[in-house]
Amino acid sequence: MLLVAGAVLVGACTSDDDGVDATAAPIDAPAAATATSEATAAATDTPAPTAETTEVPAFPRTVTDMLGREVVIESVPLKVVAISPSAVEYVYAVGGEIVGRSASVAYPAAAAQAEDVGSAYQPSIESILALEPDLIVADSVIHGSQPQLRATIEGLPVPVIFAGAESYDDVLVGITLLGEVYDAADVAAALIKEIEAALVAARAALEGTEVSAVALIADRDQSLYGAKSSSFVGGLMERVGILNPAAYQPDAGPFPGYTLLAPELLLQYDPTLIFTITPAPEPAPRLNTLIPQIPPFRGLSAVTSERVIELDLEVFLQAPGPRVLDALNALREIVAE
Amino acid sequence: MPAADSFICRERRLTITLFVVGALLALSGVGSLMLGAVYIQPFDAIRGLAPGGEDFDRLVVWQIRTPRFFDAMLVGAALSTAGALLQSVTRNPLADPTILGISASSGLVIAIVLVLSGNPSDTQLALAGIGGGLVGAATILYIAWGGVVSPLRLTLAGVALAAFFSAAIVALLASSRTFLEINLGFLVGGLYGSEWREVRAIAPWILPALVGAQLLSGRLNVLALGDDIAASLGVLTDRTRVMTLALVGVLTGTAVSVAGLVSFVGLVSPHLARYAVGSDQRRMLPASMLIGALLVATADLAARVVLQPSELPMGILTAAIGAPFLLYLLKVRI
Repeated sequence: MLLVAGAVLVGACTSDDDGVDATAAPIDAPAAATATSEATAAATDTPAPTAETTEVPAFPRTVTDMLGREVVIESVPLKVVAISPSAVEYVYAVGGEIVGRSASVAYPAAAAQAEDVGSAYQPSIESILALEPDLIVADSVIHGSQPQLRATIEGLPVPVIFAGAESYDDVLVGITLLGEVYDAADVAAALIKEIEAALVAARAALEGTEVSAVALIADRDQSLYGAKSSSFVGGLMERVGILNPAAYQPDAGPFPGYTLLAPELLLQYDPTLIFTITPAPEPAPRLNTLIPQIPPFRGLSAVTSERVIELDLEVFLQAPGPRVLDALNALREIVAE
Repeated sequence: MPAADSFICRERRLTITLFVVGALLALSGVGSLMLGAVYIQPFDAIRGLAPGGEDFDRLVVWQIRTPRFFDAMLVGAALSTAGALLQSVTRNPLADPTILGISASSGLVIAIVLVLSGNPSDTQLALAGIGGGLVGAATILYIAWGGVVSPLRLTLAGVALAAFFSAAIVALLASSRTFLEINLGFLVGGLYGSEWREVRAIAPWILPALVGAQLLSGRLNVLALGDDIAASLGVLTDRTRVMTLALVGVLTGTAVSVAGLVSFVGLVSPHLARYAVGSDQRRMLPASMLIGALLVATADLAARVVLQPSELPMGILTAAIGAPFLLYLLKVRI
């Protein structure tokens, strides 16, 4: 165990070096994580415990997950089943690996190779158990909001932690939590530092300008919903300093954190930028190509200046988590233009 | 039919039907324990049924698959019996709790309770379903009072009710921040996440109601002769009708509270039962009940297996069987 802790420190240094300059090309968090696990393997081969390793509290340790539950982690988990895209990404962000995942997980590529255990909303409990995991990482948002499913998952004879994200702050909490679970506090701290630097850089890019934007998703009837500040993307926009006229609209429509946006309101807002997110898979047209085709929207500033921008579906909507780094870098690049 | 088609002969048909359907149900049960996202050997499946131990086979067989199979049987028996009672009391071969909107009215009250309470217990949900089922059954009773409404008119009234209640359910769930993925299982009908907890919550309602239906079967036979004859034979027609529809409300409501809006089970099962054992309610009801249990248990097994490790909502499969059957009835029997 000490060896692993030592190795994790090596890994942390690696990602730290890469991430000193936050305005440089965005660092791929999972790449750092991969480096970490390689370092882990290398260091395990050559036992070289350093003085620092003794400072890390030994296992078993008790962690508090994102639903406020105290969970005892016996040792660094080796066979992990993560049942939402966010949960999977947290594990990889601190150098872990998984043996099972929810159906839609496609990132990171290594995770896609893991066993499919059914959709995040209806995971197959028997598939999870069949993998004989030593830890289940469930989603504090998806499963925390379904009392019966949550009770079922908690009742399994396997330790469970809940980690998810509804906001920027949640992501940092989640990374820290997984850092404790994996005895990789340094990797977690380095990644958090990187994310915080990316936020600073994005804010700096906006300095002295006033940019307003709405972030839109559309349902199958093409009704438009605007992200409020309580949504993940809306929260990021607020952090970065983008003015969002829909931020504090009342709740309307089925999507938590989004409000049904009447076309008139969009015309009234006339934001500098329009972000779009399209949940429907290709070849469905992206929402940013549809907006300019809607006649009343042709006069919008964002349409005439061709600043209707499609955001990455996973990073901004489906898998809120450590890739908030990519999200912040993307926002920085957009507002820097 | 020749005179030789005697009572004894019909009794034998019932025995044979119960035996065959029972055997198929047992087969479906064995399949339900073995098959799923993970295949479990027959011997391990049996071992999983034996108490003691917390190993994988035991967990999967006893904590996941067995309660689900029981839920499926209870739901199937409840819906098919509700359908048989409805067809009998309205003298309408197209009657079914889904088609007449009784499932949807149960579902609406359940959805209201879900939205208001956030985390209701299984018993609260069952009670909500029963309340909604009674409202739906009362509405049908009002429309069909006296049993003289033409089958198509009653069916169309039911379609209107079902559409209204379903729209209200969607409106409620859509405005309530619950995830759309969760709603699908409820709106189409499915048994994902069944546990012993649910079996314990619904069995105390469904089992007595099934017995009650059997006790009413003699009077329903008389009622089928028409109100005047029934009255002259000493059957209190109105009271029988009210009691029957109350049972329909209880059976439908509890089934909907665990499985959502499963459609067509109550339509198909009684017709198959009548085909097998004739229309005497005393024989038709038990046969219909067993056929319903078989139908839902098998549909649920298929729903778990076809897309593994994900699953289809089971109601899609009952609808796939039931909808063509309804079309057949409309073409041939009405």
